[in-house]
Amino acid sequence: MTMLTKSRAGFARPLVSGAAMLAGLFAAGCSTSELLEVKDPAVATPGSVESQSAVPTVYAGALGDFFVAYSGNGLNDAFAPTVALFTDEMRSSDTFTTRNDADRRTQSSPSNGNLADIPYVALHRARWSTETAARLITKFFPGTDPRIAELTSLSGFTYVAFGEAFCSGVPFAPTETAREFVEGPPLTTAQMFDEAALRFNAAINGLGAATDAVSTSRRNLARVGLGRALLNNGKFAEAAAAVAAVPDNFVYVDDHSANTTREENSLWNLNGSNRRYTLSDGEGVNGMNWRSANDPRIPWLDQGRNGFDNATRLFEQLRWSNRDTDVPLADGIEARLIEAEVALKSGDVNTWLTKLNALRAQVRTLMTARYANYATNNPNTFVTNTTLAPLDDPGTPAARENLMFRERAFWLFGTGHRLGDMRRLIRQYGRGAETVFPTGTWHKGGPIGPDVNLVVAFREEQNSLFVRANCKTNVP
Amino acid sequence: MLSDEPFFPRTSWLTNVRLRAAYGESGTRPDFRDAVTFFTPVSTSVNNIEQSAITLGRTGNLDLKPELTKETEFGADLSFIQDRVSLELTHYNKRSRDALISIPLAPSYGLTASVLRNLGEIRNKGTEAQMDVRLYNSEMFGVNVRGTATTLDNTIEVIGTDATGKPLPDIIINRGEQRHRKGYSAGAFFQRPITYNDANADGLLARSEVTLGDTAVYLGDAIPKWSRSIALDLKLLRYIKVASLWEGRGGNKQLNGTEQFRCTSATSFPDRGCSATGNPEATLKEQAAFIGATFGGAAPSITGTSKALYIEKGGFTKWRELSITLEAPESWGLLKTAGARGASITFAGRNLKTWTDYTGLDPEIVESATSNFNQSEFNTQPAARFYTLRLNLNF
Repeated sequence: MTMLTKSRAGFARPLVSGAAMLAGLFAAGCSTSELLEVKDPAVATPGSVESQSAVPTVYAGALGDFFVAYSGNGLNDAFAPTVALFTDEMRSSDTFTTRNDADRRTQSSPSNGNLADIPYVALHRARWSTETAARLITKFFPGTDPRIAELTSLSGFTYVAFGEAFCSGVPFAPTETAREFVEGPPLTTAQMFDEAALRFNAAINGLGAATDAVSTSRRNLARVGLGRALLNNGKFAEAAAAVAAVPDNFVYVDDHSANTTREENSLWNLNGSNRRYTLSDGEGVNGMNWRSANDPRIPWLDQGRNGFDNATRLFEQLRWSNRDTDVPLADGIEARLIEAEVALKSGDVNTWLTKLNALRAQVRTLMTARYANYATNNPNTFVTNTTLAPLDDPGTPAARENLMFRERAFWLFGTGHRLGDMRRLIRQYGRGAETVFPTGTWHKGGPIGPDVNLVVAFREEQNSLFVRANCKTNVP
Repeated sequence: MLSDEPFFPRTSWLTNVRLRAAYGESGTRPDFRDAVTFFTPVSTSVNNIEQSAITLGRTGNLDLKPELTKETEFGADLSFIQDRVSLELTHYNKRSRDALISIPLAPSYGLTASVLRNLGEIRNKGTEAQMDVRLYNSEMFGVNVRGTATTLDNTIEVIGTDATGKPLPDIIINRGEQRHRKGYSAGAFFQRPITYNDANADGLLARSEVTLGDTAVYLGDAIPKWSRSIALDLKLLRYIKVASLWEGRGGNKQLNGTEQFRCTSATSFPDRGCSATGNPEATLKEQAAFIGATFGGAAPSITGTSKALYIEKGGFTKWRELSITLEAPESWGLLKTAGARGASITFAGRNLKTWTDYTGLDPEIVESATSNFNQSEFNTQPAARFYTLRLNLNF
């Protein structure tokens, strides 16, 4: 920089200022839009997290998005709670019409908004987050990093959730080009499970032969997911083969915490805390007798309180007795249940019954390992049972199917499996919807409706490839 | 100032004539961070250990530009009869290029709910007029009247293209009853039409007697096409002053969302509902509105429902205010005793009367005034009618 004497500097300042102003005006005149291109160091952008050091944060974010979508948070509903309300697991004790509409299977016109909007939006977000994070980790940690397999599997679970809960015709934009607004075509129910299977297989293959504990756990996560997807598509033998190597004690959980509202367990929040949901018992003729069964898999509590509507009695489930209780997403129990169902499907009644009874023989061990405070927070005397009485063969194919799905219902309660099972009973076992879903008179009056899947959010109609008419809520 | 020119004819009734013309350009910049896709910091528990994490906070648009508006304006200010009558007239034509519009995003992208884009061109043109008339003024009596009137014609002339260059389809906003479509006003109402025929003349419509059209049709603008007001000031016997104001606007439609929600939720709650669901004397239109919005009529060729009959004329006239002021004479002994220089007492009322064809609570209220062209009432409290009594003492 040229040094100026005092007198010269005094003369030069106006010239310099004028020149700067002219330069500024010239620059502004060239493009006023450039004024908006300001670097903002206070926020994380996609570009700023494109680094190796950002991987742990992006990975944790993707996990969080999935947990929020699947088992929820302390603010609102998610996939598993909505499934619980829509099926026979929980009843609405709320005043909000969207929850009441979902409970009585009479969802509103899409433009009015529905409870299902929450999981629909959140699951797509989780799909984008997990796949985006998996690509980032692959870029900086190519190879067999188990986080890639984990996130790929979680993306697979979003496809499973869409397939189980929504119509045959859910669109999926490719996550690689979503930010360029490239629309995705609708997939049929079978295609959604095929897409899920592709991701679970990719996860298994990506882990290679790694034998460390984390890789083994993530492999089992993918195996159970694959089994679930194949079972949904009626590929029974392949489903059993997929889960055969999963041990009984394997469990992968959606991690919940009391640290922030976003991390809380949604079913605890909606049931015991905010009293919006109440535990059902024999809901709508066909519902399971969750409470009166006095089954150690469904601990519950009646404190004599009413729900949020101040009219419906509040029954609290105690699987998730705290805001930080984790929710099993995939575990060895589900693996054995898949094997048992496949055995039944193939006519091997002995294997079927043996598998079910083996699980029942270790009920306390399995429940205690999955649900924190299961043994300590629970006033039900029946939870002290270490085993459940072995089942006898009921003798007829229909009764065996009923028993199979009852066992699945009690083991997998509240974990987002029930709606898929009910729709499978219709698609794969030839049952009528009114013999599977709650039916008759709703507990607050009026008839229960005909819906068997959740409404796709109205905003999806912005997608020119989505066809609402092909996305009916009364088709299993 | 035309009337100052030597060629301007001098008349006793025309006092002043001023002609105005203006041209201007201005820009509206997007809000802070509208252009940026960014993540929001959150916590996630991973294996029961809290981890720093992020989740998508906004879908930005790096191509976002300022909205640029060019406006031409012509007007005249006239005064008559020694300024006892004055009139201001303005006609404007404003064209906004790269209009900033929030576009809802399909959830299947996995992104956030909307993105801001520069879309096409929106034209606003209209006329504004204001007239002040001092009918009579003396020490004891006075009568002044002031009136305003405006018109507005809003049209989307170009709606832009998507990322691949294809012309954008209608942009559906709010709860689906409003959309942006080229050639129409921004956020205009579109719904599938509902027709009905009480074939058996029993006064009760069955679903089979209600039919929905296949395609959403234009039902009206959300943006009012005109507004007007009249203010009256009276002075009576020197110390009594009366002021009153009437306002109105119209040419637009409003969604009666409260009634629609009451009616459609009646299917969920037997103890709730509306005239259409519980009143045997309900009109056929009420019944058709309920059936169309709840069930969609009898086997429509495409599924879905229509709120067409809950979209009503949104025009109104309101008696906005009346105030009566009694001033104490300066010579009043009580004032001097109290050491005051003046006193007055005013009784005023606001929102005194509404004249409208709208059947909801109030055509003036909207569910979300800051939302995207929202023109719907949904469990929204109308402006309250209230009265005030005020005593002023000047010291």
